[in-house]
Amino acid sequence: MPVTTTTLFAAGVFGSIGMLAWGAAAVVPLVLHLWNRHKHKEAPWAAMEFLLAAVQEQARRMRLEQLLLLLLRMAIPIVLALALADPLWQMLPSIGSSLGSRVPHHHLFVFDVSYSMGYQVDGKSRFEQAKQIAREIVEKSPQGDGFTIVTLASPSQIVVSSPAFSPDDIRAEIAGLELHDNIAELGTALELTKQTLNRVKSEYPRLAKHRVYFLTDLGETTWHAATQSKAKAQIGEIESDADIVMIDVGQSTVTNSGISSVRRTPPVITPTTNVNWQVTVNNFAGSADGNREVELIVDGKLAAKESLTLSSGTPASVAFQYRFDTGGSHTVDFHLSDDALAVDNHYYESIVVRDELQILCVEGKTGSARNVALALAPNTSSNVLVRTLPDHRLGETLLQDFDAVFLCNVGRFTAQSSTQLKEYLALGRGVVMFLGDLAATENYNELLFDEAPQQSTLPARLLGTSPDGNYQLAPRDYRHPIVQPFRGQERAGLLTTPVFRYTRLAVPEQSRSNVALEFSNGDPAIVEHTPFLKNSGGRFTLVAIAPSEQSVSRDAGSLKPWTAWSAWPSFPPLVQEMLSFSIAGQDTERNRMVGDPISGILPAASGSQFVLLTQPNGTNRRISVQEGRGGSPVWQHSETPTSGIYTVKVPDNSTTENFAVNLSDTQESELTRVPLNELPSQFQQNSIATGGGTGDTDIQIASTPLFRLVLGLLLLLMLTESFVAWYLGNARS
Amino acid sequence: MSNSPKYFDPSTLSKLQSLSLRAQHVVEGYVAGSHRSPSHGFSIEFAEHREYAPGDDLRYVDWKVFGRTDKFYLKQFEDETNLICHLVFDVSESMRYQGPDAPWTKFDHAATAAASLAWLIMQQQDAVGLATFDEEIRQFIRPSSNPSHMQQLLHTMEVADPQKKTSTGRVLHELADRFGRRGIVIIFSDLFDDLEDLLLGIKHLRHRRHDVIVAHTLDAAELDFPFRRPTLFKGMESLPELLTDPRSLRQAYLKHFNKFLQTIESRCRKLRVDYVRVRNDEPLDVTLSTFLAKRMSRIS
Repeated sequence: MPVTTTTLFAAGVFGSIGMLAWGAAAVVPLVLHLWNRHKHKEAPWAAMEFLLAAVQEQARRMRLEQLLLLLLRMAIPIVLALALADPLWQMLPSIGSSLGSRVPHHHLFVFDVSYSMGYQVDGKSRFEQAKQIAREIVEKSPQGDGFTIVTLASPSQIVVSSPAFSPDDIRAEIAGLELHDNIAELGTALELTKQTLNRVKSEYPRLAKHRVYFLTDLGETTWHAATQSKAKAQIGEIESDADIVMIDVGQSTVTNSGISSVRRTPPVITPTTNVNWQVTVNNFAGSADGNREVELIVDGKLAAKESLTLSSGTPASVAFQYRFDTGGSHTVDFHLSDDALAVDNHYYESIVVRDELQILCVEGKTGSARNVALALAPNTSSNVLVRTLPDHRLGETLLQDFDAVFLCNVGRFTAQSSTQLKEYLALGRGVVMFLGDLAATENYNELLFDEAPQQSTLPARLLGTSPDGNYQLAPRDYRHPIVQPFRGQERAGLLTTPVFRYTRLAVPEQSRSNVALEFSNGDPAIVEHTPFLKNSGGRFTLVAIAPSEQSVSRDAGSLKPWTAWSAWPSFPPLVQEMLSFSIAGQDTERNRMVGDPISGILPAASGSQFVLLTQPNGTNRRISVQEGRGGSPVWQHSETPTSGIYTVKVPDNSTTENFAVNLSDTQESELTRVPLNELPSQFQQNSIATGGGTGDTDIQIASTPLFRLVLGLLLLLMLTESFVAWYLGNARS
Repeated sequence: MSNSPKYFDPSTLSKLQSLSLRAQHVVEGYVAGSHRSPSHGFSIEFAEHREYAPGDDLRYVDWKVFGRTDKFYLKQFEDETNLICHLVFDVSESMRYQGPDAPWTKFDHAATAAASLAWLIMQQQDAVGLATFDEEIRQFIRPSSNPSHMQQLLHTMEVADPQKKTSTGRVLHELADRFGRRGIVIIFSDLFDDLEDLLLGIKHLRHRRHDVIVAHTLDAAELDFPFRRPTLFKGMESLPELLTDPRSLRQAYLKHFNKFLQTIESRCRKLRVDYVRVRNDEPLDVTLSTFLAKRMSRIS
């Protein structure tokens, strides 16, 4: 197909086609030339024969000179219009290369911000080195190039989606990048890279050449996915649009150790509790590190220090015991003495030491909760305070004032009360629900159950009451924390608990509900789950057995109780375990993994429009307070990219809440790398391994954009025109 | 030339008082004053008597006075002349040209210079004649030293109307035949004509033993060609028009024109003809002073 003007435009030969209209100004010199010929002065002349002789001699030369001058003058506006139109070498690559020129480039930096990039050599991290390399590329790039940034993280993000053309702007964006204390998802990053390329291609046609730089340490947790078929397809699509440059800032020989886990007992802590921790340290990579120290730092102060000996491939543990003197929110930091990768040398905990526990018991009929309350607070010295309300007052009660709610044979729920429960659970609080003869199955299922597990408040559907009988409980090998204390304690009477009737439950398939205790016929007896949010911490425990002997069945005119459980020895400890299990969810709410959201609820009377969040790096952010579903003021912050302690303060209030955020996965700490030759070939064609050096990348950034050449030609034409006009006019006359 | 006194600008003429026009060669005429002549002069008008001294020519003794006074007195004659000057004046159309920077036309300038010379010559009691020409001789006034003759000369130049083409060579041939006695022939012309014919005419005059002076009268624009903007040049003397950019032609024009000037000058030198270039933008006294100084240097 012949190349026409239309096809040239369609192919994007010019960045600003409209500017070509200025080329019409080329007729101006022609018009002026003709006008000047028309507009002349007249003069009589006596020495005509000499003038005629000169004309005869010079006629040909004069015509050529005038033609040359005219062409030069017409060429100037044409070349100016070409320069303004921002010509691209897209259709003329051979000419461009022969002139040593280049089209404006689009540079897309894909920064690996997984926490292994924090590994330091000579005091400089891989991430800092990657930033330095990116800055060098920016500095070497000529004016007119555009830059975008995508992070290789979890989740990956587009940091700069529209090309930044100012080196200062892009340098500021690079400087603002921070590591995520997490692993990275390659697939998402490749998808975002493709999206960015497509966007730049369509919206910035003048950036005719694209180059994607992967600045990474080639960690296996990130790059093992590159060999999968989906990633290969994505990489192929990227390669079809752009040159791929792999910049490897990793090192082949590394050593690293870190805290792999911390276990604490007991879950509920009071000022009289001795708290025990077992800290496990792993030698993740390299040879044995020998002796290391682990510090227990409570509320920023060193509380204890222990030594351990690390040997290659074998975890080592160290135990700490501590008693908190005061109630309230406390922070704990376990710190393994630093090595090249600092982030996994810490484990943080946020602990609420409770002076007393506030428990709300809601009963369907008077006395339904009596035994439950007694089991929760068996004597006056107990630090558990129980308040009992009838079920019709549930809607008027602020649930967030209580650490847990026990619902005892409540008959029906309203839409308002069901919303209250959902919001309460969303805050990480615990609900224990005892069913009984008043429980309206349809009402429960309609307002509190949903087939979609993530939408359901109840962990199981109610199927109605069982027929009368003598039912035996089965502990399911005491695996669940609620019944775990009964292991080996047959005398506690769990298995002999008398149950004659119960509410049958059906646990949906693929739900996250856990059966803690069941009947010997397989029906669930105690089911729990964490509704709504995977890591919200709110725990809902559903008990199929009635909480008192007031639940009765009428059989041939006689009243037969459903159970005598409330008077059985297993009842008080099981209620206590359910309380501990429910409250432990509050700790879950305050102890999150990197990337998890954190949230809180404020007292209804606080009136604050925002809370002040202090992040681990010391920066403060204002988080707006919004009205929750139940009308309570709530706040939520979804960005927790770094591990450490996040502190929330409520203005005009002394309340402080601490949130501990830890690594979600320490697999990245192994610092295992994927060999470059195992990656798809596209990554191997242009690869630069710095090996922890100074980062002189030697990346070829070509010289001059085409519009500069055209402007140079324009300048040359103008100078030539001036000289020719001077030579033909003044100089020679 | 609307006002004849402008040819007699006192400031110009006062400067010429110290100069005298001397003939380079001995020409026919009377020996009187400062002019040497091979033949005896004769008086045109009686001026005075002086007492006889031994050795005086007895032919000039006034016998009538001797009869009355018994003393010998010799007759002295006033305005004795022995020089004849022919002013040959080009009145073709090209002499009417006035360039953009010139104060007047070439004709005006040449006529002024000619009038000044005529006045100066007649002041020395010499005879001045005038011939105007274009394609042919338009006016021919025989030489005379009579003061009233001056008015005739001026009038003839005043009424001249340069309109026609020129044919200088043929005219000079004809004038050479008409000039009776040897004298000085001063040609005022821009010489825009056939160069060989022109030089043959001058040669003819020289053959008749006339002392020829060429006063080459040119406009400043013809010598410098100062035009810059595109110009339609309208040729005089029936030559064609030409629209051109003068800046691109200047060099070539000046080359041709200077070659023309050099040719005339060198050929005049070979013919022992004085060549004086007269620019119409220079002061008239400078023109005449230069002209007369050159004549003086040749006499000496």
